[in-house]
Amino acid sequence: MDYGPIIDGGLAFASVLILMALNIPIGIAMLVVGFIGFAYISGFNPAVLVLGFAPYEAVSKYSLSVMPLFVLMGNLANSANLSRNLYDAAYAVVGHYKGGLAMSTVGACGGFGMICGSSIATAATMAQMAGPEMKRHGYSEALISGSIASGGTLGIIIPPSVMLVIYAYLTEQSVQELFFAALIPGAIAVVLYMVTIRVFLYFYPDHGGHGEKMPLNERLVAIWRVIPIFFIFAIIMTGLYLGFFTATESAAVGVILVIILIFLKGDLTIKMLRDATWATIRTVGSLYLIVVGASMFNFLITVTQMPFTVVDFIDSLALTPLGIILVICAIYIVLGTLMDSLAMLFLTIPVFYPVIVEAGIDPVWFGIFAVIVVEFGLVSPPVGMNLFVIKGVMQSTPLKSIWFGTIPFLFADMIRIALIIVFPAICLYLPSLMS
Amino acid sequence: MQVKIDKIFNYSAIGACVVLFFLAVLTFCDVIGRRFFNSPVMGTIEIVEVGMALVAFLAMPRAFFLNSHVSADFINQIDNNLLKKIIIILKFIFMISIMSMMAYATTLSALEFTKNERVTLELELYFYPFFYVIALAMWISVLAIILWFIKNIFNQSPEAT
Repeated sequence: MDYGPIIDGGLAFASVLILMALNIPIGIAMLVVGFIGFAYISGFNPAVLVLGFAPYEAVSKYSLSVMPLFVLMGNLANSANLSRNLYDAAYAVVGHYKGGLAMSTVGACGGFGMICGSSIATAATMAQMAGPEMKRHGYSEALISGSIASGGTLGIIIPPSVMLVIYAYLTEQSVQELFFAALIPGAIAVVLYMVTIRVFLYFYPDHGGHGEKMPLNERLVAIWRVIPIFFIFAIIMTGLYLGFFTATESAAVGVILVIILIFLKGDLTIKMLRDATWATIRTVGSLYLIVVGASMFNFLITVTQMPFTVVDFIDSLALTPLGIILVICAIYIVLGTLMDSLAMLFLTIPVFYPVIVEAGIDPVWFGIFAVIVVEFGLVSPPVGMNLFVIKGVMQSTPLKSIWFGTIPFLFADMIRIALIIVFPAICLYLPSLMS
Repeated sequence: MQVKIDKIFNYSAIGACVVLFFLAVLTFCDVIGRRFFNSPVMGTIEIVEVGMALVAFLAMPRAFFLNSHVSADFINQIDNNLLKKIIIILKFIFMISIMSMMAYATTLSALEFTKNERVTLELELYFYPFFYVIALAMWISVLAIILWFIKNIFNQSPEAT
Protein backbone atom coordinates (compact mmCIF):
# COMPACT_ATOMS: atom_id res chain seq x y z
CA MET A 1 0.00 0.00 0.00
CA ASP A 2 1.30 3.47 -0.93
CA TYR A 3 1.26 5.68 2.16
CA GLY A 4 2.43 8.77 0.20
CA PRO A 5 -1.01 10.46 0.17
CA ILE A 6 -1.42 9.91 3.92
CA ILE A 7 2.00 11.43 4.56
CA ASP A 8 1.24 14.41 2.27
CA GLY A 9 -2.16 14.96 3.87
CA GLY A 10 -0.68 14.47 7.34
CA LEU A 11 1.93 17.14 6.61
CA ALA A 12 -0.83 19.51 5.50
CA PHE A 13 -2.79 18.87 8.71
CA ALA A 14 0.35 19.29 10.82
CA SER A 15 1.11 22.61 9.09
CA VAL A 16 -2.40 23.90 9.83
CA LEU A 17 -2.06 22.86 13.47
CA ILE A 18 1.32 24.59 13.79
CA LEU A 19 -0.06 27.83 12.31
CA MET A 20 -3.08 27.60 14.61
CA ALA A 21 -0.77 27.13 17.57
CA LEU A 22 0.92 30.39 16.55
CA ASN A 23 -2.44 32.13 16.92
CA ILE A 24 -3.01 32.52 13.17
CA PRO A 25 -6.78 32.64 12.53
CA ILE A 26 -8.04 29.18 11.59
CA GLY A 27 -9.38 30.34 8.20
CA ILE A 28 -6.08 31.97 7.29
CA ALA A 29 -4.11 28.89 8.41
CA MET A 30 -6.17 26.65 6.14
CA LEU A 31 -5.99 29.14 3.26
CA VAL A 32 -2.20 29.46 3.49
CA VAL A 33 -1.55 25.72 3.70
CA GLY A 34 -4.17 24.96 1.03
CA PHE A 35 -2.74 27.50 -1.40
CA ILE A 36 0.94 26.66 -0.88
CA GLY A 37 0.26 22.91 -0.97
CA PHE A 38 -1.89 23.16 -4.09
CA ALA A 39 0.70 25.39 -5.79
CA TYR A 40 3.45 22.88 -4.89
CA ILE A 41 1.52 19.96 -6.38
CA SER A 42 -0.25 21.57 -9.35
CA GLY A 43 1.80 24.70 -10.07
CA PHE A 44 1.53 28.37 -9.15
CA ASN A 45 -0.76 29.53 -11.97
CA PRO A 46 -3.44 26.85 -11.42
CA ALA A 47 -3.33 27.70 -7.70
CA VAL A 48 -3.95 31.41 -8.41
CA LEU A 49 -6.78 30.42 -10.74
CA VAL A 50 -8.39 28.31 -8.00
CA LEU A 51 -7.84 31.07 -5.42
CA GLY A 52 -9.67 33.51 -7.68
CA PHE A 53 -12.81 31.45 -7.91
CA ALA A 54 -12.96 28.82 -5.14
CA PRO A 55 -13.73 31.32 -2.33
CA TYR A 56 -16.75 32.62 -4.25
CA GLU A 57 -17.90 29.08 -5.03
CA ALA A 58 -17.56 28.13 -1.37
CA VAL A 59 -19.57 30.98 0.14
CA SER A 60 -22.22 31.25 -2.55
CA LYS A 61 -23.62 27.74 -2.03
CA TYR A 62 -27.35 28.02 -1.42
CA SER A 63 -27.25 25.36 1.31
CA LEU A 64 -24.87 27.53 3.35
CA SER A 65 -26.99 30.68 3.12
CA VAL A 66 -29.09 29.31 5.98
CA MET A 67 -26.20 30.00 8.37
CA PRO A 68 -26.12 33.85 8.48
CA LEU A 69 -29.90 33.95 8.62
CA PHE A 70 -30.07 31.68 11.67
CA VAL A 71 -27.24 33.65 13.29
CA LEU A 72 -29.25 36.84 12.64
CA MET A 73 -32.36 35.23 14.14
CA GLY A 74 -30.46 34.28 17.31
CA ASN A 75 -28.91 37.73 17.66
CA LEU A 76 -32.28 39.43 17.20
CA ALA A 77 -33.77 37.21 19.90
CA ASN A 78 -30.81 37.94 22.15
CA SER A 79 -30.95 41.72 21.65
CA ALA A 80 -34.67 41.69 22.40
CA ASN A 81 -34.05 39.84 25.70
CA LEU A 82 -36.10 36.81 24.68
CA SER A 83 -33.51 34.73 26.53
CA ARG A 84 -34.64 36.43 29.76
CA ASN A 85 -38.21 35.30 29.12
CA LEU A 86 -36.99 31.75 28.56
CA TYR A 87 -35.04 31.78 31.78
CA ASP A 88 -38.02 33.16 33.71
CA ALA A 89 -40.29 30.46 32.28
CA ALA A 90 -37.83 27.68 33.14
CA TYR A 91 -37.45 29.16 36.62
CA ALA A 92 -41.23 29.22 37.04
CA VAL A 93 -41.36 25.49 36.33
CA VAL A 94 -38.33 24.08 38.21
CA GLY A 95 -36.73 27.03 40.04
CA HIS A 96 -38.05 26.12 43.48
CA TYR A 97 -36.59 22.60 43.50
CA LYS A 98 -33.16 21.82 44.93
CA GLY A 99 -30.75 22.81 42.14
CA GLY A 100 -33.69 24.41 40.39
CA LEU A 101 -31.78 27.48 39.23
CA ALA A 102 -29.13 25.35 37.55
CA MET A 103 -31.89 23.27 35.98
CA SER A 104 -33.64 26.48 34.87
CA THR A 105 -30.39 27.52 33.21
CA VAL A 106 -30.19 24.22 31.32
CA GLY A 107 -33.87 24.51 30.35
CA ALA A 108 -33.41 28.10 29.19
CA CYS A 109 -30.31 27.05 27.20
CA GLY A 110 -32.42 24.38 25.50
CA GLY A 111 -35.12 26.94 24.75
CA PHE A 112 -32.60 29.47 23.50
CA GLY A 113 -31.07 26.74 21.31
CA MET A 114 -34.39 26.66 19.43
CA ILE A 115 -33.78 30.17 18.10
CA CYS A 116 -30.00 30.41 18.31
CA GLY A 117 -27.67 28.02 16.52
CA SER A 118 -24.48 28.90 18.34
CA SER A 119 -23.09 27.30 21.46
CA ILE A 120 -20.85 30.21 22.36
CA ALA A 121 -23.69 32.74 22.01
CA THR A 122 -25.92 30.56 24.19
CA ALA A 123 -23.23 30.13 26.86
CA ALA A 124 -22.32 33.85 26.84
CA THR A 125 -25.97 34.94 27.09
CA MET A 126 -26.73 32.57 29.95
CA ALA A 127 -23.51 33.37 31.81
CA GLN A 128 -24.50 37.04 31.93
CA MET A 129 -28.07 36.34 32.98
CA ALA A 130 -28.14 33.17 35.09
CA GLY A 131 -24.66 33.46 36.63
CA PRO A 132 -25.39 36.38 39.03
CA GLU A 133 -28.82 34.92 39.86
CA MET A 134 -27.36 31.57 40.93
CA LYS A 135 -24.57 33.27 42.84
CA ARG A 136 -27.17 35.27 44.78
CA HIS A 137 -28.87 32.02 45.80
CA GLY A 138 -25.63 30.53 47.10
CA TYR A 139 -24.75 28.20 44.25
CA SER A 140 -21.08 27.18 44.02
CA GLU A 141 -18.96 28.57 41.22
CA ALA A 142 -18.39 25.02 40.00
CA LEU A 143 -22.08 24.24 39.56
CA ILE A 144 -22.79 27.67 38.04
CA SER A 145 -20.06 27.36 35.44
CA GLY A 146 -20.67 23.65 34.79
CA SER A 147 -24.38 24.10 34.14
CA ILE A 148 -23.86 27.15 31.90
CA ALA A 149 -20.95 25.68 29.92
CA SER A 150 -22.76 22.40 29.32
CA GLY A 151 -26.15 24.04 28.81
CA GLY A 152 -24.49 26.27 26.21
CA THR A 153 -23.61 23.24 24.10
CA LEU A 154 -27.35 22.66 23.60
CA GLY A 155 -27.22 25.62 21.21
CA ILE A 156 -25.36 23.56 18.62
CA ILE A 157 -27.37 20.36 18.85
CA ILE A 158 -30.94 21.65 19.17
CA PRO A 159 -32.06 22.86 15.73
CA PRO A 160 -31.47 25.26 14.12
CA SER A 161 -27.79 24.47 14.55
CA VAL A 162 -24.92 26.20 12.74
CA MET A 163 -22.76 23.10 13.20
CA LEU A 164 -25.32 20.86 11.53
CA VAL A 165 -25.60 23.33 8.65
CA ILE A 166 -21.81 23.18 8.23
CA TYR A 167 -21.85 19.38 8.36
CA ALA A 168 -24.63 19.34 5.75
CA TYR A 169 -22.58 21.74 3.60
CA LEU A 170 -19.43 19.63 3.86
CA THR A 171 -21.15 16.32 3.14
CA GLU A 172 -24.05 17.46 0.94
CA GLN A 173 -26.59 15.93 3.32
CA SER A 174 -30.10 17.32 3.85
CA VAL A 175 -30.22 20.06 6.50
CA GLN A 176 -33.85 19.16 7.19
CA GLU A 177 -33.04 15.52 7.97
CA LEU A 178 -30.16 16.55 10.22
CA PHE A 179 -32.35 19.01 12.13
CA PHE A 180 -34.95 16.32 12.78
CA ALA A 181 -32.29 13.77 13.68
CA ALA A 182 -30.98 16.18 16.33
CA LEU A 183 -34.31 16.73 18.09
CA ILE A 184 -34.38 13.61 20.30
CA PRO A 185 -30.65 13.71 21.22
CA GLY A 186 -31.12 17.39 22.11
CA ALA A 187 -34.08 16.58 24.38
CA ILE A 188 -32.12 13.71 25.95
CA ALA A 189 -29.27 16.14 26.66
CA VAL A 190 -31.61 18.52 28.51
CA VAL A 191 -32.96 15.67 30.65
CA LEU A 192 -29.52 14.17 31.33
CA TYR A 193 -28.04 17.55 32.34
CA MET A 194 -30.93 18.13 34.76
CA VAL A 195 -30.47 14.65 36.25
CA THR A 196 -26.74 15.36 36.54
CA ILE A 197 -27.46 18.49 38.56
CA ARG A 198 -29.64 16.52 40.98
CA VAL A 199 -27.07 13.73 41.30
CA PHE A 200 -24.26 16.27 41.80
CA LEU A 201 -26.22 17.98 44.56
CA TYR A 202 -26.96 14.61 46.16
CA PHE A 203 -23.22 14.09 46.64
CA TYR A 204 -22.34 17.78 47.22
CA PRO A 205 -25.44 19.30 48.86
CA ASP A 206 -23.61 22.52 49.76
CA HIS A 207 -23.08 23.47 46.12
CA GLY A 208 -26.61 24.67 45.45
CA GLY A 209 -29.92 25.65 46.95
CA HIS A 210 -33.35 26.43 45.63
CA GLY A 211 -35.20 29.57 44.58
CA GLU A 212 -38.44 30.96 45.92
CA LYS A 213 -41.64 29.29 44.76
CA MET A 214 -43.60 31.66 42.52
CA PRO A 215 -47.38 32.07 42.90
CA LEU A 216 -49.35 30.12 40.27
CA ASN A 217 -50.54 33.19 38.34
CA GLU A 218 -46.96 34.53 38.02
CA ARG A 219 -45.83 31.13 36.83
CA LEU A 220 -48.51 31.03 34.16
CA VAL A 221 -47.60 34.53 32.99
CA ALA A 222 -43.91 33.55 32.73
CA ILE A 223 -44.82 30.47 30.70
CA TRP A 224 -47.27 32.45 28.53
CA ARG A 225 -44.48 34.85 27.56
CA VAL A 226 -42.43 32.11 25.88
CA ILE A 227 -45.30 30.59 23.91
CA PRO A 228 -44.48 32.76 20.85
CA ILE A 229 -40.89 31.44 20.84
CA PHE A 230 -42.15 27.85 20.81
CA PHE A 231 -44.63 28.90 18.14
CA ILE A 232 -41.83 30.21 15.88
CA PHE A 233 -39.83 27.03 16.47
CA ALA A 234 -42.93 24.94 15.67
CA ILE A 235 -43.52 26.88 12.42
CA ILE A 236 -39.91 26.36 11.33
CA MET A 237 -39.86 22.64 12.13
CA THR A 238 -43.36 21.93 10.77
CA GLY A 239 -42.59 23.84 7.59
CA LEU A 240 -39.42 21.82 7.14
CA TYR A 241 -41.19 18.55 7.96
CA LEU A 242 -43.99 19.13 5.48
CA GLY A 243 -41.59 20.36 2.81
CA PHE A 244 -43.38 23.69 2.89
CA PHE A 245 -40.04 25.45 2.69
CA THR A 246 -36.31 24.70 2.48
CA ALA A 247 -33.86 25.26 5.34
CA THR A 248 -32.80 28.67 3.98
CA GLU A 249 -36.41 29.71 3.57
CA SER A 250 -37.20 28.53 7.10
CA ALA A 251 -34.36 30.72 8.40
CA ALA A 252 -35.68 33.75 6.50
CA VAL A 253 -39.19 33.07 7.81
CA GLY A 254 -37.72 32.74 11.32
CA VAL A 255 -35.94 36.11 11.01
CA ILE A 256 -39.12 37.88 9.90
CA LEU A 257 -41.25 36.16 12.57
CA VAL A 258 -38.80 37.10 15.34
CA ILE A 259 -38.85 40.73 14.10
CA ILE A 260 -42.68 40.66 14.12
CA LEU A 261 -42.65 39.17 17.65
CA ILE A 262 -40.25 41.85 18.92
CA PHE A 263 -42.39 44.53 17.24
CA LEU A 264 -45.53 43.17 18.91
CA LYS A 265 -43.73 43.20 22.27
CA GLY A 266 -42.97 46.88 21.65
CA ASP A 267 -39.21 46.31 21.88
CA LEU A 268 -38.30 46.95 18.24
CA THR A 269 -35.88 49.86 18.14
CA ILE A 270 -33.22 50.99 15.69
CA LYS A 271 -30.57 50.44 18.36
CA MET A 272 -31.74 46.86 18.94
CA LEU A 273 -31.73 46.09 15.21
CA ARG A 274 -28.30 47.71 14.82
CA ASP A 275 -26.81 45.71 17.72
CA ALA A 276 -28.22 42.45 16.38
CA THR A 277 -27.02 42.99 12.80
CA TRP A 278 -23.62 44.27 13.95
CA ALA A 279 -23.11 41.13 16.04
CA THR A 280 -24.32 38.99 13.12
CA ILE A 281 -21.96 40.57 10.62
CA ARG A 282 -19.05 40.11 13.00
CA THR A 283 -19.86 36.40 13.40
CA VAL A 284 -20.58 35.94 9.70
CA GLY A 285 -17.28 37.59 8.72
CA SER A 286 -15.29 35.19 10.87
CA LEU A 287 -17.35 32.08 9.98
CA TYR A 288 -17.09 32.70 6.25
CA LEU A 289 -13.32 33.17 6.44
CA ILE A 290 -13.17 29.62 7.82
CA VAL A 291 -15.45 28.42 5.00
CA VAL A 292 -13.14 30.08 2.44
CA GLY A 293 -10.05 28.59 4.11
CA ALA A 294 -11.64 25.15 4.29
CA SER A 295 -12.56 25.24 0.59
CA MET A 296 -8.93 25.86 -0.38
CA PHE A 297 -7.64 23.31 2.12
CA ASN A 298 -10.09 20.70 0.83
CA PHE A 299 -8.79 21.27 -2.70
CA LEU A 300 -5.36 20.32 -1.40
CA ILE A 301 -6.63 17.31 0.53
CA THR A 302 -8.46 16.12 -2.59
CA VAL A 303 -5.41 16.41 -4.85
CA THR A 304 -3.28 14.53 -2.33
CA GLN A 305 -5.90 11.72 -2.53
CA MET A 306 -5.58 11.33 1.21
CA PRO A 307 -9.27 10.49 1.91
CA PHE A 308 -9.22 7.54 -0.53
CA THR A 309 -5.98 6.21 0.90
CA VAL A 310 -7.37 6.52 4.44
CA VAL A 311 -10.41 4.50 3.29
CA ASP A 312 -8.10 1.80 1.89
CA PHE A 313 -6.02 1.88 5.05
CA ILE A 314 -9.07 1.46 7.30
CA ASP A 315 -10.28 -1.35 5.00
CA SER A 316 -6.97 -3.11 5.43
CA LEU A 317 -7.39 -2.95 9.23
CA ALA A 318 -10.71 -4.82 8.86
CA LEU A 319 -12.32 -2.71 11.60
CA THR A 320 -16.02 -3.12 12.34
CA PRO A 321 -18.22 0.00 12.02
CA LEU A 322 -18.28 0.19 15.83
CA GLY A 323 -14.48 0.04 15.88
CA ILE A 324 -14.31 2.88 13.34
CA ILE A 325 -16.73 4.96 15.39
CA LEU A 326 -14.74 4.39 18.58
CA VAL A 327 -11.49 5.37 16.84
CA ILE A 328 -13.12 8.54 15.44
CA CYS A 329 -14.60 9.28 18.86
CA ALA A 330 -11.17 8.98 20.51
CA ILE A 331 -9.62 11.27 17.86
CA TYR A 332 -12.36 13.88 18.39
CA ILE A 333 -12.01 13.80 22.16
CA VAL A 334 -8.24 14.32 21.94
CA LEU A 335 -8.62 17.07 19.31
CA GLY A 336 -11.47 18.63 21.29
CA THR A 337 -9.24 19.42 24.21
CA LEU A 338 -6.90 21.34 21.90
CA MET A 339 -8.88 22.72 19.00
CA ASP A 340 -11.87 24.89 18.25
CA SER A 341 -15.01 22.96 17.33
CA LEU A 342 -15.45 24.61 13.93
CA ALA A 343 -11.87 23.89 12.94
CA MET A 344 -12.32 20.30 14.07
CA LEU A 345 -15.37 19.83 11.88
CA PHE A 346 -13.86 21.54 8.84
CA LEU A 347 -10.57 19.67 9.11
CA THR A 348 -11.82 16.19 9.90
CA ILE A 349 -15.10 15.69 8.06
CA PRO A 350 -13.55 15.61 4.55
CA VAL A 351 -11.31 12.75 5.74
CA PHE A 352 -13.75 10.88 8.01
CA TYR A 353 -16.78 11.15 5.76
CA PRO A 354 -15.57 8.78 2.98
CA VAL A 355 -14.48 6.33 5.69
CA ILE A 356 -17.90 6.19 7.36
CA VAL A 357 -19.72 5.98 4.03
CA GLU A 358 -17.48 3.08 2.99
CA ALA A 359 -18.18 1.36 6.32
CA GLY A 360 -21.93 1.63 5.73
CA ILE A 361 -22.54 4.08 8.60
CA ASP A 362 -25.53 6.36 8.09
CA PRO A 363 -24.23 9.89 7.25
CA VAL A 364 -27.13 11.59 9.06
CA TRP A 365 -26.45 9.57 12.21
CA PHE A 366 -22.75 10.35 11.90
CA GLY A 367 -23.53 14.07 11.61
CA ILE A 368 -25.33 14.03 14.96
CA PHE A 369 -22.62 11.88 16.51
CA ALA A 370 -19.88 14.20 15.24
CA VAL A 371 -21.62 17.32 16.53
CA ILE A 372 -22.21 15.73 19.96
CA VAL A 373 -18.57 14.67 20.24
CA VAL A 374 -17.46 18.14 19.09
CA GLU A 375 -19.76 19.57 21.78
CA PHE A 376 -17.95 17.36 24.24
CA GLY A 377 -14.74 19.10 23.14
CA LEU A 378 -16.29 22.49 23.84
CA VAL A 379 -16.52 21.71 27.54
CA SER A 380 -13.46 19.47 27.90
CA PRO A 381 -10.67 20.87 30.03
CA PRO A 382 -8.17 22.37 29.52
CA VAL A 383 -9.16 24.51 26.51
CA GLY A 384 -12.84 23.85 25.76
CA MET A 385 -14.11 27.05 24.12
CA ASN A 386 -17.20 27.36 26.37
CA LEU A 387 -15.01 27.26 29.47
CA PHE A 388 -13.19 30.36 28.27
CA VAL A 389 -16.44 32.09 27.37
CA ILE A 390 -17.62 31.55 30.94
CA LYS A 391 -14.26 32.68 32.28
CA GLY A 392 -14.56 35.82 30.13
CA VAL A 393 -17.99 36.70 31.54
CA MET A 394 -17.43 35.52 35.16
CA GLN A 395 -13.87 36.73 35.54
CA SER A 396 -13.62 36.22 39.29
CA THR A 397 -14.31 32.46 38.94
CA PRO A 398 -11.06 30.45 38.94
CA LEU A 399 -10.54 28.23 35.90
CA LYS A 400 -10.07 25.28 38.28
CA SER A 401 -13.65 25.66 39.57
CA ILE A 402 -14.95 25.84 36.00
CA TRP A 403 -13.11 22.63 35.12
CA PHE A 404 -14.39 20.86 38.23
CA GLY A 405 -17.95 21.97 37.49
CA THR A 406 -17.97 20.56 33.95
CA ILE A 407 -16.74 17.06 34.87
CA PRO A 408 -20.16 15.66 35.96
CA PHE A 409 -21.68 16.97 32.73
CA LEU A 410 -18.98 15.23 30.71
CA PHE A 411 -20.21 11.95 32.22
CA ALA A 412 -23.74 12.85 31.09
CA ASP A 413 -22.39 13.46 27.58
CA MET A 414 -20.62 10.09 27.62
CA ILE A 415 -23.92 8.41 28.50
CA ARG A 416 -25.61 10.24 25.63
CA ILE A 417 -22.88 9.24 23.17
CA ALA A 418 -23.19 5.61 24.32
CA LEU A 419 -26.98 5.79 23.93
CA ILE A 420 -26.86 7.00 20.34
CA ILE A 421 -24.23 4.41 19.45
CA VAL A 422 -26.28 1.57 20.96
CA PHE A 423 -29.64 2.91 19.75
CA PRO A 424 -29.07 4.70 16.41
CA ALA A 425 -32.85 5.06 16.11
CA ILE A 426 -32.61 7.92 18.62
CA CYS A 427 -31.23 9.92 15.70
CA LEU A 428 -32.75 8.15 12.74
CA TYR A 429 -36.38 7.66 13.77
CA LEU A 430 -37.66 11.19 13.03
CA PRO A 431 -35.82 11.53 9.67
CA SER A 432 -37.27 8.16 8.65
CA LEU A 433 -40.77 9.57 9.16
CA MET A 434 -39.90 12.38 6.76
CA SER A 435 -39.04 10.08 3.89
CA MET B 1 -6.75 59.99 9.63
CA GLN B 2 -7.04 56.45 11.01
CA VAL B 3 -10.56 57.16 12.31
CA LYS B 4 -11.61 58.15 8.79
CA ILE B 5 -10.14 54.97 7.32
CA ASP B 6 -11.86 52.92 10.05
CA LYS B 7 -15.17 54.13 8.66
CA ILE B 8 -14.52 52.27 5.41
CA PHE B 9 -14.76 49.00 7.35
CA ASN B 10 -18.01 50.12 8.94
CA TYR B 11 -19.45 51.10 5.56
CA SER B 12 -18.45 47.72 4.19
CA ALA B 13 -20.17 46.01 7.16
CA ILE B 14 -23.27 48.19 6.71
CA GLY B 15 -23.33 47.06 3.07
CA ALA B 16 -23.27 43.45 4.29
CA CYS B 17 -26.12 44.17 6.78
CA VAL B 18 -28.28 45.75 4.09
CA VAL B 19 -27.73 42.85 1.67
CA LEU B 20 -28.45 40.30 4.43
CA PHE B 21 -31.73 41.95 5.40
CA PHE B 22 -32.68 42.29 1.75
CA LEU B 23 -32.05 38.55 1.23
CA ALA B 24 -34.13 37.65 4.31
CA VAL B 25 -37.05 39.76 3.09
CA LEU B 26 -36.71 38.51 -0.49
CA THR B 27 -36.71 34.86 0.61
CA PHE B 28 -39.69 35.47 2.90
CA CYS B 29 -41.61 37.14 0.04
CA ASP B 30 -40.70 34.23 -2.24
CA VAL B 31 -42.14 31.70 0.25
CA ILE B 32 -45.32 33.71 0.77
CA GLY B 33 -45.68 34.38 -2.97
CA ARG B 34 -45.10 30.77 -3.93
CA ARG B 35 -47.24 29.14 -1.24
CA PHE B 36 -50.17 31.55 -0.95
CA PHE B 37 -50.36 33.38 -4.27
CA ASN B 38 -48.79 30.81 -6.59
CA SER B 39 -46.40 33.51 -7.72
CA PRO B 40 -42.78 33.00 -6.59
CA VAL B 41 -40.15 35.68 -6.95
CA MET B 42 -38.16 34.68 -10.02
CA GLY B 43 -34.49 33.84 -9.51
CA THR B 44 -34.54 34.05 -5.71
CA ILE B 45 -32.05 31.21 -5.30
CA GLU B 46 -29.60 32.85 -7.69
CA ILE B 47 -29.91 36.23 -5.98
CA VAL B 48 -29.44 34.60 -2.56
CA GLU B 49 -26.31 32.77 -3.77
CA VAL B 50 -24.70 35.89 -5.20
CA GLY B 51 -25.94 38.02 -2.30
CA MET B 52 -24.48 35.71 0.33
CA ALA B 53 -21.08 35.95 -1.36
CA LEU B 54 -21.36 39.74 -1.09
CA VAL B 55 -22.38 39.45 2.58
CA ALA B 56 -19.44 37.15 3.32
CA PHE B 57 -16.75 39.31 1.75
CA LEU B 58 -18.19 42.68 2.79
CA ALA B 59 -18.33 41.42 6.40
CA MET B 60 -14.68 40.38 6.46
CA PRO B 61 -12.84 43.76 6.62
CA ARG B 62 -14.46 44.74 9.92
CA ALA B 63 -13.78 41.28 11.34
CA PHE B 64 -10.11 41.66 10.36
CA PHE B 65 -9.89 45.15 11.83
CA LEU B 66 -11.51 44.06 15.13
CA ASN B 67 -9.46 40.85 15.09
CA SER B 68 -12.61 38.82 15.68
CA HIS B 69 -11.58 35.87 13.54
CA VAL B 70 -11.61 32.51 15.28
CA SER B 71 -8.15 31.55 16.55
CA ALA B 72 -6.88 28.81 18.82
CA ASP B 73 -6.34 29.77 22.46
CA PHE B 74 -3.04 28.04 23.11
CA ILE B 75 -0.98 31.15 23.84
CA ASN B 76 -3.52 33.65 25.04
CA GLN B 77 -2.12 33.90 28.51
CA ILE B 78 1.46 34.83 27.59
CA ASP B 79 2.84 37.80 29.44
CA ASN B 80 6.00 38.43 27.44
CA ASN B 81 5.58 41.56 25.31
CA LEU B 82 8.38 40.63 22.91
CA LEU B 83 6.80 37.24 22.23
CA LYS B 84 3.43 38.93 21.72
CA LYS B 85 4.97 41.28 19.15
CA ILE B 86 6.64 38.38 17.33
CA ILE B 87 3.27 36.61 17.14
CA ILE B 88 1.62 39.77 15.83
CA ILE B 89 4.30 40.13 13.13
CA LEU B 90 3.93 36.46 12.13
CA LYS B 91 0.15 36.78 12.07
CA PHE B 92 0.44 39.92 9.94
CA ILE B 93 2.77 38.29 7.43
CA PHE B 94 0.48 35.30 6.92
CA MET B 95 -2.73 37.32 6.79
CA ILE B 96 -1.44 40.04 4.47
CA SER B 97 0.22 37.57 2.08
CA ILE B 98 -2.73 35.27 1.57
CA MET B 99 -5.40 37.99 1.54
CA SER B 100 -3.43 40.08 -0.99
CA MET B 101 -2.97 37.00 -3.13
CA MET B 102 -6.68 36.20 -2.90
CA ALA B 103 -7.65 39.80 -3.71
CA TYR B 104 -5.29 39.76 -6.69
CA ALA B 105 -6.64 36.40 -7.92
CA THR B 106 -10.25 37.59 -7.55
CA THR B 107 -9.45 40.80 -9.45
CA LEU B 108 -8.04 38.62 -12.25
CA SER B 109 -11.26 36.56 -12.22
CA ALA B 110 -13.33 39.76 -12.40
CA LEU B 111 -11.29 40.94 -15.43
CA GLU B 112 -11.72 37.53 -17.04
CA PHE B 113 -15.51 37.63 -16.48
CA THR B 114 -15.63 41.12 -17.98
CA LYS B 115 -13.95 39.76 -21.10
CA ASN B 116 -15.99 36.57 -21.52
CA GLU B 117 -19.29 38.14 -20.29
CA ARG B 118 -20.23 35.08 -18.24
CA VAL B 119 -23.75 35.24 -16.81
CA THR B 120 -25.84 33.37 -14.23
CA LEU B 121 -28.14 30.63 -15.50
CA GLU B 122 -31.63 31.87 -14.67
CA LEU B 123 -31.59 35.65 -14.49
CA GLU B 124 -28.57 35.97 -16.81
CA LEU B 125 -26.90 38.45 -14.48
CA TYR B 126 -23.32 39.35 -15.39
CA PHE B 127 -20.83 37.89 -12.94
CA TYR B 128 -18.23 40.62 -13.29
CA PRO B 129 -19.88 43.43 -11.27
CA PHE B 130 -20.22 41.09 -8.29
CA PHE B 131 -16.64 39.93 -8.66
CA TYR B 132 -15.43 43.54 -8.74
CA VAL B 133 -17.32 44.22 -5.48
CA ILE B 134 -15.89 41.05 -3.93
CA ALA B 135 -12.37 41.94 -5.08
CA LEU B 136 -12.80 45.46 -3.68
CA ALA B 137 -13.99 44.00 -0.35
CA MET B 138 -10.89 41.80 -0.27
CA TRP B 139 -8.59 44.77 -0.91
CA ILE B 140 -10.39 46.58 1.94
CA SER B 141 -9.65 43.52 4.09
CA VAL B 142 -5.98 43.92 3.17
CA LEU B 143 -6.18 47.54 4.33
CA ALA B 144 -7.89 46.40 7.54
CA ILE B 145 -5.06 43.96 8.21
CA ILE B 146 -2.47 46.72 7.73
CA LEU B 147 -4.32 49.04 10.14
CA TRP B 148 -4.82 46.26 12.67
CA PHE B 149 -1.07 45.60 12.51
CA ILE B 150 -0.12 49.27 12.95
CA LYS B 151 -2.59 49.63 15.82
CA ASN B 152 -1.20 46.62 17.64
CA ILE B 153 2.51 46.73 16.95
CA PHE B 154 2.89 50.28 18.29
CA ASN B 155 0.61 49.63 21.23
CA GLN B 156 2.30 49.35 24.66
CA SER B 157 0.40 46.16 25.53
CA PRO B 158 -0.52 44.58 22.21
CA GLU B 159 -3.32 42.05 21.95
CA ALA B 160 -1.86 38.84 20.65
CA THR B 161 -5.19 37.34 19.80
